[in-house]
Amino acid sequence: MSSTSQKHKEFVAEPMGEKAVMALAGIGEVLGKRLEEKGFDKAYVVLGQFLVLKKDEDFFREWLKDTCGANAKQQFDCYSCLKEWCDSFL
Amino acid sequence: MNFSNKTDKEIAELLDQYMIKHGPVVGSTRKLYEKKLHEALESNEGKKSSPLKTIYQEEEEEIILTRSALRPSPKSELYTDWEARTTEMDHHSAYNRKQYSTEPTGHSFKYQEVLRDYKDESQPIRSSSATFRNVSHSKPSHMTAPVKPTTIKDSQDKRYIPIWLQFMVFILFAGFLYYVFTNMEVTPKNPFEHIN
Repeated sequence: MSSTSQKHKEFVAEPMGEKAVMALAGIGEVLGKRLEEKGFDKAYVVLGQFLVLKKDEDFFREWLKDTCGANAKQQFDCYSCLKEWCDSFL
Repeated sequence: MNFSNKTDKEIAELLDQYMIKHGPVVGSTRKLYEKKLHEALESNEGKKSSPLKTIYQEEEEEIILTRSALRPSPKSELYTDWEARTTEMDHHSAYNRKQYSTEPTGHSFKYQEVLRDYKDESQPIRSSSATFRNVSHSKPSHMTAPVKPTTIKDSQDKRYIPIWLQFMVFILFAGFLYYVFTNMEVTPKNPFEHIN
């Protein structure tokens, strides 16, 4: 049984294009709104931050926690989602 | 330490100094890296405080040893102090060098304190080391600049006990042990004597 959610599978299946930030695994409505308020209104902007942090897990997770208050599971889901997307499309 | 007035480049250099792998320091990453630097500074201060404790205790013992060497004290006490000092010196010689280079004024201040305590002979001197531990915590430790090699020579020139005296004491102790050992020799008896 796969440990990744449906959201994760959908996200990593195709280029993200103009998808909203709430399309990311681990990012729901509440966290998505907080990210949008900070200026991260699209998934690719969060991707940009992920890349600028050199795809480092610790840094990215800490940044996510500080920016929108994500818990450990949400951080992990978002990180692994972006990482897998990068492995496929970057 | 406030990092907000530093440029992005300086932040990057500080991260390199603390061996923190990082990406570019830009608007969105700056806050995170400043936070990392704060954590690194705090962990450094934590590591520094414990060796400072032992350094102050060790320096205090050195001073006690010089005073006891001047007075006619029993030799056994001298040996134990010397041995304690050399074992601690082996472990903390690296920290000791840094200590000499960064805070020389603190050392002289402590020396006066020890003299004051030493005059009161009724209480044992070692118990006062606790006060020095408290003193060491109040001093703010700054970022360690690269240690200059010249300070190592300075610390080695300042010997409280001359090296020849140390060697003589060592040889005397070795001779004493040899004397004891030779006197322990058992007179050979025939193990196959008939038991009546």
